[in-house]
Amino acid sequence: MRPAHAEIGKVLGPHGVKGEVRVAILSDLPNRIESLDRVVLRWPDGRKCWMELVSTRPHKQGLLVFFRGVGDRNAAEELRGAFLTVPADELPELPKDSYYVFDLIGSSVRTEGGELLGTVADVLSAAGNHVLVVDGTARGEVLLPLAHHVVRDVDLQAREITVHLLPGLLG
Amino acid sequence: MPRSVSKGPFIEPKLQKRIEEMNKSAEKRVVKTWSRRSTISPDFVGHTIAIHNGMKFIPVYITENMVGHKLGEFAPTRTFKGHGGKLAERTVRIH
Repeated sequence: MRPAHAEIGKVLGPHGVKGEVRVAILSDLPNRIESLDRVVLRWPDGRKCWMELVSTRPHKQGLLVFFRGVGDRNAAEELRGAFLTVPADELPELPKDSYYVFDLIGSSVRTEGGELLGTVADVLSAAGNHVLVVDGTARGEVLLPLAHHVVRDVDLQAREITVHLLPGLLG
Repeated sequence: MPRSVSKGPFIEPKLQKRIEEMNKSAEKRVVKTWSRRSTISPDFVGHTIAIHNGMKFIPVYITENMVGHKLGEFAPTRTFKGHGGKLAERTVRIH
């Protein structure tokens, strides 16, 4: 099931003395944080608040962000560890054959013959193709490449993925 | 020092033989290999090869732009979990 919100970044800590913070990018979509005016900051302890973004600029692998109302290093320190999130209904539509990982996790995986292989436990990212980690049945963990010749159909409403099993894929 | 051009790219003979057999019979099956050092040749394109990463076999669908690279490049041996959890806005695309 799709979560109520998605994490697009994480505040790693303050940068400088003017209230700027370092943010790690968690979204795979390009310019995701830069394109937003405001985000919901959520802390692991359950606190949350809307924050308005004033400016962003690239820094190493992440971003440096100014939030409105955060004017010094002490205030920026308070944001450390918070996740930048957006509500699920504000997630952009993806192009054909692209999916959010949290939509796939938990989906049941069946062969074309109807045999249940398990549920998607994780999606591995590799240089070639993504790999579905399917678990939950007596067969144990099964790795399936996210390629058209294997993954025949993804039904997000029914939360079901139909796969064609090539000989040798189950070990 | 790079490998001598006169030798040609290294491909595990056993793996090459199995790919050639599948190409002759137009058969598609997943080939398991431990040979991460083998170079991907154009014959491999369109096949799925399960490459050992030290713990399990990662199934990789070979495409044209992988030719010339080593098989091991596509089966990472370390898992970087990163900062995000299950709620991170990660996307995947079916190739």
